[in-house]
Amino acid sequence: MTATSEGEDDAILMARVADGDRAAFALLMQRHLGRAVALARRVTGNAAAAEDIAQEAFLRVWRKAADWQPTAKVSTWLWRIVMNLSIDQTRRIKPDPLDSVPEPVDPALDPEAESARRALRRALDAAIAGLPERQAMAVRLCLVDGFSQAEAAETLALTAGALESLLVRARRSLRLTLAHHAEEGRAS
Amino acid sequence: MTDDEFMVLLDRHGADLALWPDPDRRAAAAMLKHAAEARRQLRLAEQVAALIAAPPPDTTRLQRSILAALPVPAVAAVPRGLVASAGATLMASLAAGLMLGWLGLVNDPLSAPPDDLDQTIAIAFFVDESYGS
Repeated sequence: MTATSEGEDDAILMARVADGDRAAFALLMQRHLGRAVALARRVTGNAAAAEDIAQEAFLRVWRKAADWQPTAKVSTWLWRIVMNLSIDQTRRIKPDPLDSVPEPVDPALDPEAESARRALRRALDAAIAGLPERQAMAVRLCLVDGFSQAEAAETLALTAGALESLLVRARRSLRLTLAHHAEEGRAS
Repeated sequence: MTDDEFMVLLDRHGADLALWPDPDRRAAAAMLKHAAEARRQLRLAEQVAALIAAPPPDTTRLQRSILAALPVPAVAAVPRGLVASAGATLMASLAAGLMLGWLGLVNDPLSAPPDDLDQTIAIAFFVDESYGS
């Protein structure tokens, strides 16, 4: 088994996975599993199902590595598998209630500041929920879950320009929401 | 750079100036020194980014679970290079055999003359009797 460097290209890792290299597979997981879970969670709205989907997606990567053609990026291929599995799953399961996931509490903040932060967060969540569906999905992938714009565009089957346009409108809308919320806070 | 131009770039590239293209970042840094409204909008954008960014999920347990569930692939047992070289060797030996046969350099034992065949059978019986004694 050869050593695996941090900067090694995904395509090279895939070639090694095709030869049964578990270390290369583990590195691919370290790079992409978190966002695979996040993407599945975004689409299904169900945390347990998202982990099952991410697991199945990576098992498919392991089984099909020899068939993978380097015409598309590995991550693009992976997001597509996750999206397809997630869409299948949404037909069978109910999403978690929105308030079932407790928001982490920052112990460094005093209760008043923490309360203000939570209020802002709720206002932004409401603003995101009020965005048109594609804008909201672009925001969730890029600004919440940390996908690059290129990855999000490929995942949502959009051109880079179309995705950027969605993000421009969404960022402006969220910034105005926050400004409005801050002004209301000062007025009260 | 005007406030409006800055706002357009802020919405296009986001609140992290380090991710902006070089010329835009340099122009923005210069104008932010004396543009209060641009600084306020940048702070708002930074707040939005910090508030909505989710920490990456902890996947340590899931990674272990996936590694434990990996089936052993057929390709792992025999490296692909070895399969390819074995196939090439087989093809080369088949080609050589066909060529030798076509050129008549190798006798076909099934078309050997009857005398040779009788001799072969006699030797076979002799060997068989020698083992029997």
